[in-house]
Amino acid sequence: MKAASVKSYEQELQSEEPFVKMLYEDLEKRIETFEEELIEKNDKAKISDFIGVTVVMAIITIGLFSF
Amino acid sequence: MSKTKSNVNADIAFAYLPTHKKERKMSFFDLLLVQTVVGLSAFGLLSGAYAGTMVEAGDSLIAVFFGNAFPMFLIAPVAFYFAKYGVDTFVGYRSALGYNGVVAFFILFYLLSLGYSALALFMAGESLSSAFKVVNAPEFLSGSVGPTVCAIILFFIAFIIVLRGPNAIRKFNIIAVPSFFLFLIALIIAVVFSDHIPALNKLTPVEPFENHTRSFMTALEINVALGFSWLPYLGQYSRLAKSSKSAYSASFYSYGVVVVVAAVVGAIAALISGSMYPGDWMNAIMGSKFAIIGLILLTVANLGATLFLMYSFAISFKTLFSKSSWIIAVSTLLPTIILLLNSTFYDAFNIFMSVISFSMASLGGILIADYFFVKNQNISLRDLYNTKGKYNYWFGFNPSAIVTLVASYFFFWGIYNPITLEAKGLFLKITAGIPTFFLAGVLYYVCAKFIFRFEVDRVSAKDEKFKEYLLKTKTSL
Repeated sequence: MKAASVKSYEQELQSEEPFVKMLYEDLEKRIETFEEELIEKNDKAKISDFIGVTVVMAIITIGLFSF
Repeated sequence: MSKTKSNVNADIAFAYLPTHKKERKMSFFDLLLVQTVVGLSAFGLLSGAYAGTMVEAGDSLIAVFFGNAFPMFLIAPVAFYFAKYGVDTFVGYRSALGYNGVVAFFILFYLLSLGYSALALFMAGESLSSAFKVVNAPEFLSGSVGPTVCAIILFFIAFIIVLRGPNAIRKFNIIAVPSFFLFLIALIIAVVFSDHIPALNKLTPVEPFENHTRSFMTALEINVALGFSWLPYLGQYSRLAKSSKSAYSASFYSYGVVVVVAAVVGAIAALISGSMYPGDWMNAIMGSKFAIIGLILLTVANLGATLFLMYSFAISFKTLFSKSSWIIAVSTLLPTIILLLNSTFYDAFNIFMSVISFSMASLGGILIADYFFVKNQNISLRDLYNTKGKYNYWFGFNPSAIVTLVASYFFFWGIYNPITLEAKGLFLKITAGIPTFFLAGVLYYVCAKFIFRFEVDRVSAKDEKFKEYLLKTKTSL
């Protein structure tokens, strides 16, 4: 996949309105930091993360329909 | 720069930018509390009340509990996405719907905000008008046009508060949030300690269908719709969670379990009073002497809910259309007034919820399938924000999502027509919203994986390839 090099918010980065310029500069920095962290460690949801809620949902369902 | 503008700008920046890890401070209990406060609302009361008018007490409880919990169980995994990437709903959805597809989703969110604001305001207006009736206020406030007049006055109060920015809203909510809790607690106490409880099993619904299954499934469908309708709100707080797992669990327990209390109260109130109107609930349960206190609490609480809805929408509007002014963003909600002119919209709550059910169930299925099964939880944050990036698909729309939405539309309306209330066999077994969610998920997966096969989907599916892509985008800048 080709890397995206044209940014849709290029104009905003050059904006004369301080709020808009600061917002997009901040965005750039945040994306950089996030990507560095993601390349280093890509945390994902695991099956075990769903167990607690699934058990509670099963209890609710069984409880209600045997009521 | 005025203080209001500065506060609003701070909220816009906070909503628009992906959150840093250090900004993600909300624990499981913080999220549970804040989302419960958001979720306890007029629509919960109304969804429950509809169940109470169609089926008896035991079945109302099943419809309300299962109807709210199960859809939330299905869509709550979306919280993992927002918690991992720290983005707001309308930025996050770009990966599944495309940049222009999100604008279409935003229009749906607009209609949802208009509808929910109108429902909360009309309920508030009806409560206030009933309270005025107790004190023999003038006819235009307490008579037949009273609910409309009061609701429109309350709309303008909400409009001015939202225009003044987040500080004014926070000050008002110091009163509004405890008001709703007090209202619920008072109503529960009144029911438990009155002579209604032993008779609850004997109470009969006032508007059942010709057979019990039909009544139960229709009551269930309305509550399923409420469960699915939290979809656009899941990103708002999940992005502030300390951990993805707590964002997920808190979303399920708050919107799917705790807020159901409001719906239960609504169901019991409707069964006892035989009405959908809070004025009748209060008189039937609390007696006219104490009714006025409950009605005022409910008015304040619903005004608070309206503030949240209007402000959330206006902030989302500003994050998508950053060049528009704050007054324009808030003024987009002025059409709410049209829905307040009479009780038609309030009485058609079930139709509104069915449309919401179809839309949110399909979108929920699409997002879950896209994030977990097509993109393998790999999203490019850079491309989410760069609207010339990889989530452009076809002219800004993801064709897999379009095909799925069209097919889901025909499926949903084929088995259940919420306007004519015509229901086919499948609806009487599993409702319409729940199978629509599964259909949307499977269909989207098939379209994305085997028919359209966009490069961005193929790269995201493999961790190594995705990592290479991230490195490439970094070096190309």
